[in-house]
Amino acid sequence: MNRSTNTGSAVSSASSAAQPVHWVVYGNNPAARYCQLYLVQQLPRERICVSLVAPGGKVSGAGFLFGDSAMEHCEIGIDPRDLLQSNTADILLALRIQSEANPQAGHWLASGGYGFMHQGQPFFHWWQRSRTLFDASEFNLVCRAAEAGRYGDIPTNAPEVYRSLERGLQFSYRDYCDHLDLAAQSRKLPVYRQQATLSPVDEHRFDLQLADGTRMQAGFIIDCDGALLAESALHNGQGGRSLPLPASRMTQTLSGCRKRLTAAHCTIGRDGWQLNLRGLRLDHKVIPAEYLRSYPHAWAGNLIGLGAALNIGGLAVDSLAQTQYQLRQLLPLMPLQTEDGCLRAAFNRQVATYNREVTDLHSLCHWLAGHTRRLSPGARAQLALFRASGSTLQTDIPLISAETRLLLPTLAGFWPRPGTIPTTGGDSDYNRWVRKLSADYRQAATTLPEYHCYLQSLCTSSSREKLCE
Amino acid sequence: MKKIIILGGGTAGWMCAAAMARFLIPRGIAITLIESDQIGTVGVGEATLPHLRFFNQTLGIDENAFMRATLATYKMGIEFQHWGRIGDAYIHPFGEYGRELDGIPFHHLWLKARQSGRAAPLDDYALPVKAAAAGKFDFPHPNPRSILSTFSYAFHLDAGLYARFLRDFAEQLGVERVEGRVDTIGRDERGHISALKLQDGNSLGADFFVDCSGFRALLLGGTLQTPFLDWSRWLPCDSAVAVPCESNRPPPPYTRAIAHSAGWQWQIPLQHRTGNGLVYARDHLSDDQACQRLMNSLPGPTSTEPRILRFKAGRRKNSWVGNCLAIGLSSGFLEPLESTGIYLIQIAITKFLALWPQGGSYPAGRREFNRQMSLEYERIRDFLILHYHATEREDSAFWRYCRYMAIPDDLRLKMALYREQGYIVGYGHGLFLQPSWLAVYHGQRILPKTYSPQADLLALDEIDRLLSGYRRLVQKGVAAMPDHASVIARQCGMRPLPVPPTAMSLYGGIAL
Ligand SMILES: Cc1cc2nc3c(=O)[nH]c(=O)nc-3n(C[C@H](O)[C@H](O)[C@H](O)COP(=O)(O)OP(=O)(O)OC[C@H]3O[C@@H](n4cnc5c(N)ncnc54)[C@H](O)[C@@H]3O)c2cc1C
Repeated sequence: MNRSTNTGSAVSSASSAAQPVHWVVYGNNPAARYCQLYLVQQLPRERICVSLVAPGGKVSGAGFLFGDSAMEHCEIGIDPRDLLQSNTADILLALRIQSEANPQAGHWLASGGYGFMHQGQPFFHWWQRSRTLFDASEFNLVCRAAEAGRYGDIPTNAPEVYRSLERGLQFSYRDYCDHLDLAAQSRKLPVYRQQATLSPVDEHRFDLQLADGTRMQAGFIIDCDGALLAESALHNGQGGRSLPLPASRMTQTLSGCRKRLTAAHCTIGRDGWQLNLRGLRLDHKVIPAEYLRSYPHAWAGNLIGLGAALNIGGLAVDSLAQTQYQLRQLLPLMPLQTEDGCLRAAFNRQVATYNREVTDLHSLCHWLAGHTRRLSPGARAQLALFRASGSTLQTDIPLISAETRLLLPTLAGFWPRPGTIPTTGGDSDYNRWVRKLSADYRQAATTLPEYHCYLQSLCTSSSREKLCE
Repeated sequence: MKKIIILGGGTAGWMCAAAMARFLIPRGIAITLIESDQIGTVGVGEATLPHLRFFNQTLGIDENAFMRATLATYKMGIEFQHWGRIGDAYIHPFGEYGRELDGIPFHHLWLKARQSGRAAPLDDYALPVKAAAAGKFDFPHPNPRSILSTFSYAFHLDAGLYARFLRDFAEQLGVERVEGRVDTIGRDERGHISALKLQDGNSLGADFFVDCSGFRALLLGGTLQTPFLDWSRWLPCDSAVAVPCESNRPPPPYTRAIAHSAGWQWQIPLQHRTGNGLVYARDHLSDDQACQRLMNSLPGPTSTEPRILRFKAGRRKNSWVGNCLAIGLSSGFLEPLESTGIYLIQIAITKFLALWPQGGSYPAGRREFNRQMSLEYERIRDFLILHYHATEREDSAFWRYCRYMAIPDDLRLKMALYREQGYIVGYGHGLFLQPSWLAVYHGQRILPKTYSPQADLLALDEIDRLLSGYRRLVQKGVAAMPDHASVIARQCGMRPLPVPPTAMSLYGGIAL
């Protein structure tokens, strides 16, 4: 018997002497810059060269990335501490969400880190019994730390339940782009600051026609802007697909002092929402009866749309976060020799699944905020399941933790139907336990350094090393 | 909801009763199980997956007591013989192959090294493969950095003893057992099931019914007429003949799945005997030929007559309809090639308990349950089809059919992606994740055309160092492990060691 007899035909060299494939990234936003740096960082130079074509104009807007997005910047060769030290970004731990009608009564919301399983019950279930006494955020170290303006490394001897301290990021797009521009410059990456349009090569492939008249040959084009996808849709006579997400218009104002915080603020109103972060105020006004239109296929021919180009909104998941995810899907499927239909099909499928998740989350948030009366089918199923059994739909792509997903409807006053969630355990025991737990979370948060002290400490090498671990 | 009736006392029925006894009886819900000695159980289902440990732990079942009661042995994977080609053999382990580096999956590093002739066989980088092949076993190490943490384990158990064990457990916690044959099923004006009438005239009513009646699917199929989705065009085996035999060799810590000209044969080593069975397609092998082939190839003597079982691959369109939930063979059947039957029972129970509407309103939970279960079934189905389809065998009409049959689109895409650039499609939920797909692709001779260019970010020497270091660790790890038989003796003896923690994963500590 032969063990491990796979002696089939030899794997061909991936690094054959073929010319590097030219990838062109188009867009003047954080995602486009991120994309260029990502591809260059993740693939050997002999295989790929990546140009950025960034149409001119001022970059405006601001955004936040949840999860461990600070650390994810290692994937583009950027030390997340440099983003903090250069005052390009701040850590984001939690959002303070309030309603326009009652700005005093706000809630802290993080993308994860709520409580833990207790006596076989998930956090959302055991917390139900004390929800009139304790806000859910009281059992979340991230929220506690954001509220107290603290941030730092969790002591290694801290109990398991306090260990989750996800490092999100918040930044103005302009600062962020400036930072990434410097990185691209120092790595001598080709950047062209001009408008461009598609220039058909054949039925399925395009080059780029730059505003200065140059024709730029492209193996593949990644559109992070949307203009090229729209143009190609015109070519092919295809329009976008209407989503149940209201379109909005954004205005930006500088809102006074630029205090460095680990929290951002989101005020939800009936006809829009306002985001305050890093001294910027972004007003998003919903455009009545107008809905977002998105493209069903992210990749057609040699044109690939990512992030904002696919137009699935940005209320809860920033278009940069969307791009990051889509890039991670694209990387192992990038055709480096010949383009193969199966790679494209797989990528389109994966992106479609992801986009559906994002759309559902956005749809739910808009609906809960009262911006629209249309719900996506996924969001409707989510809400129905929440009401019926206080649980969440299973997903292969958890954009936010299950607990955060369950907490979202409660911010708008929706709760599971009475009697849905089992209550077990002795009451006095439970009350004592839960009170002590809340106090412990509070205490644990105060052991973290003040955020500004943490920022100062970044100058010393020892704390720099810690963040990198 | 006040009362639930479980119809059927096979593995599905008693696993369900045990879990409900543990979680629903304390909430004031009465659980009754009806079974018929006259009908009996299917009596097979003896190879399990690591998830069963999690089930036991959640229920508070002592693993060592369970080992003793079910005369179980440990299992680190499945050995497949003659699948890719006659003469081939590989182990699909419950564990990892190597370790990824800087986000680059291990197999790409291995493929690159292999291309330059600087890699050992892939199996040399999988501790559970080497350990199983050497007849070694030990509990995984709790330190995730240790090479000895890179696997997980399951059991081979005696199905009859297991049902008995669960029955004792459930009855102790308050499950009422009724012996009798269900004859007629009563329904209310909504079409929901309201009562089960026994042959002796007794009628038992409840708010909710769990159909664990095996292939009969008395409630879901018979009464509620839920359509059956037939997958036999992809999984053409429709029969099995089973017989236990004596074992006079130390039990290997893995199941054997040996392909033959019209299907395959299992060998499941228990403490006191070996379970054997031959799975076949009747279009290609008669019952007599199957019996003869099995009896001629037993690894030990037997005094038992072989038993023939019939089945069809597929599942009921929905497992939960109205107030009736089907668990086990009544909800679907996928052949036992990867020992998935008991796993499917387990997750149906846990999913149901998680989505169960205490308030009594079913539709949302039911819809989600059915969606999740259909995804589970389909993902497992595709993985099973891969074993048949990824073959170079042409020595019989059966294998020629399997090799050239049209397969589900999803699987076709998955295989094309692996062939094209070694990409293994991943998903968050589902039983078989990347290491399993790699084991079967590789074990059945599918080689990617290229490795990921990411691997070119590392110099060959660096990869070489990494690979040889890992390989040495595997060798040292295996050398330090005791024999499988001695661990069984220790754990079933007077001074068993505490068992390690469990997770709902096939691969031990790794989060994929
Ligand atoms: C050949 C083969 C090999 C397998 N190998 C494995 C394996 O290695 N690993 C694995 O995980 N799974 C395996 N399985 C699957 C596994 O055997 C089953 O999932 C498991 O045994 C559960 O069966 P069950 O309880 O659903 O059905 P059964 O064991 O058939 O039980 C049905 C129950 O319903 C009762 N019943 C039926 N009708 C009535 C009635 N009218 N009135 C009263 N009671 C009634 C019966 O008395 C019985 O108690 C295998 C299956 C087959 C066919």
